[in-house]
Amino acid sequence: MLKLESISKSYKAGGLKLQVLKDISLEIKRGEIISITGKSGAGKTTLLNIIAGLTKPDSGRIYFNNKRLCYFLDIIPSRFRNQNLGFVFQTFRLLQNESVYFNVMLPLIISGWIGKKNKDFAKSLLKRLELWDYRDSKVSILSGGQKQRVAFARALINNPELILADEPTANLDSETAKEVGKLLIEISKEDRAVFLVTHQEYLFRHSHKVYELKNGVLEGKRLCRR
Amino acid sequence: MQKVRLIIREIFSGGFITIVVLLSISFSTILLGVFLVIRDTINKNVISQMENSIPPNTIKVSPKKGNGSLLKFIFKHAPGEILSEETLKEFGKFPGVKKIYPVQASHIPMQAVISIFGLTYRTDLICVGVAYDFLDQDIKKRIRKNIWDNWKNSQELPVLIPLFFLEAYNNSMAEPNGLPTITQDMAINREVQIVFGKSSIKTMEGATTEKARVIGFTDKIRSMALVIPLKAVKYYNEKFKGKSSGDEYMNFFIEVKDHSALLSIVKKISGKGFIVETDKSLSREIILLKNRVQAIIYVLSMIVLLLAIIAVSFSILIASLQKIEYYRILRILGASRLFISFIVFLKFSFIGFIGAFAGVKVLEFFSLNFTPSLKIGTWNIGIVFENKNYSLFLSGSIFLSIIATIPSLGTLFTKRMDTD
Repeated sequence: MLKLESISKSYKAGGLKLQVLKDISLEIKRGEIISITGKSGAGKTTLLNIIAGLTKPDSGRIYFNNKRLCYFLDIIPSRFRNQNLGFVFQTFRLLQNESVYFNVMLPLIISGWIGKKNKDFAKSLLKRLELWDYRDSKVSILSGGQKQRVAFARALINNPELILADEPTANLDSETAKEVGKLLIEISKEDRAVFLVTHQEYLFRHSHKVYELKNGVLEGKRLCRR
Repeated sequence: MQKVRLIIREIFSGGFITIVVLLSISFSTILLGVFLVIRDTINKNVISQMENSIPPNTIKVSPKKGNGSLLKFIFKHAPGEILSEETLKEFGKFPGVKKIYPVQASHIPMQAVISIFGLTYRTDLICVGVAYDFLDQDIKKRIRKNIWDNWKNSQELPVLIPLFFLEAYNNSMAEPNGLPTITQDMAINREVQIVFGKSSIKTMEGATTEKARVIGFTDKIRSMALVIPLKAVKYYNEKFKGKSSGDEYMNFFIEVKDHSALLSIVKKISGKGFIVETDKSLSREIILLKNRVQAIIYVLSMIVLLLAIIAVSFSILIASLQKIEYYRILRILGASRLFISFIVFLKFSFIGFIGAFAGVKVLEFFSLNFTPSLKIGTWNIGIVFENKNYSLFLSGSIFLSIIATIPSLGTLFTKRMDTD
């Protein structure tokens, strides 16, 4: 479903060229969970941004469902993100002063269309994630676990094929982290892939492949559930 | 539809910092408005009053004296030798010419008979004919313009005496001959007989005596000739010297619109070979001074505009950076840069409109309630609010807001929005 071929990325810092990603190649299939780990500043978020079309790689190609991702016009990767990707972050990245419902519907609002089907799907999603009673509450009053569930609902509302999760359990207590982990596993079983940046051993065990990003290179598979 | 909701939500979001932006735009509008009023006041009172208090000199045009050049053999007259009706029409078409006063000299022998202090004096003289408007201020005994300009044979002839004529009599003739000096009051309204076609040397057939009356004094013609209606001079020139004699003029006095027009008209007329007398250097100085004052005002207005843009830019930058996380979320969820730019522009254009409207209303309030009596010396410096100012200020302030949004968009896109 997603294929990365020889992706390289460098930044200039203080006159020095900092090579963050070196010749990265990777493939994610439908239904897989791929975990990436690595030290802070190793380039995990950069890799995530490149997959999302937010950052343009220096070289290399990305294919999504055998179609090459184009960075030529910003509107193309933006539409790609809106229609095919779901995002979950460590810091939730929710609009704190808006309602749960507004946050969940935001990707559809950006796409410009909300139909009855979408509304019914949002209702079922909020019920499934036990958020329906909080739909009109402001996000700021929710607990960390509830916020992350709102983030999951938002990531799923446009029924994406790929979920990009950047350390989704890092800010949560162990119990809540396990719940969120379960949710991720559930999601991956719904004919979609999950690309996960994490340091949680628990999540490694449920991943199909685990890579460590070290010195800009993806190094070997450490733990694998299958 | 959903995007419209997002746009409306964006416009009305922001809280306190949006109010700060609104106030900065209102304040900038007021500042620009006050400055524009000061500029207009300077333009209206200082520059125009200065220019009007030193009116552009009237140009005196005379024909060039013939020198028997080769051209005279080829053409009847060399260029610049004749001021005719045709020349009058040609000069009248020059841009900046307000009015032309032609002066025609009598080409026939003439005498004046004056009775004063019980004695009768008879003297040869020349007359010039001029239009009423040119002498308007010199006419002491008011007569109708129509009587002067449409004088008819056998009507009493109104006459203006050159001031030097009076001075010359008082200084050179009265004392040596033991006669009393004559004041203007003594001379005004005095009857004079003017004989057309006769002098002490020559008498032409059909010489006519006209009854004339002194109605004022003038130094505008700068000659020792009596000044009478142009129609009278034309009539007697044509009567004694033929039709063509009535079409030839001694001088044109050209009234110009302003100092810059004077300079260009002088250049054109000189180029045609005529003799031009005027104080060009004064006009040049005035134009230079006017241009300098306007350049300073222009530079100052640019500085004020720049300061306003900087102030509004900073407030918009702070407002935009405060919402950076919101824009990042929109970007991640699929909003394009174009859409975000659009909503940011729209938001600050709307705030710009509201801010400018508030600023204009404040200016209008001051113009109606406080400033009508504000004066510096005799200059009224009150804010005069005209209808055209509304659209000017509103569109100007919206434009200012859009310009001021560009730096914040640049900051959002180049550094912050797509990365943490």
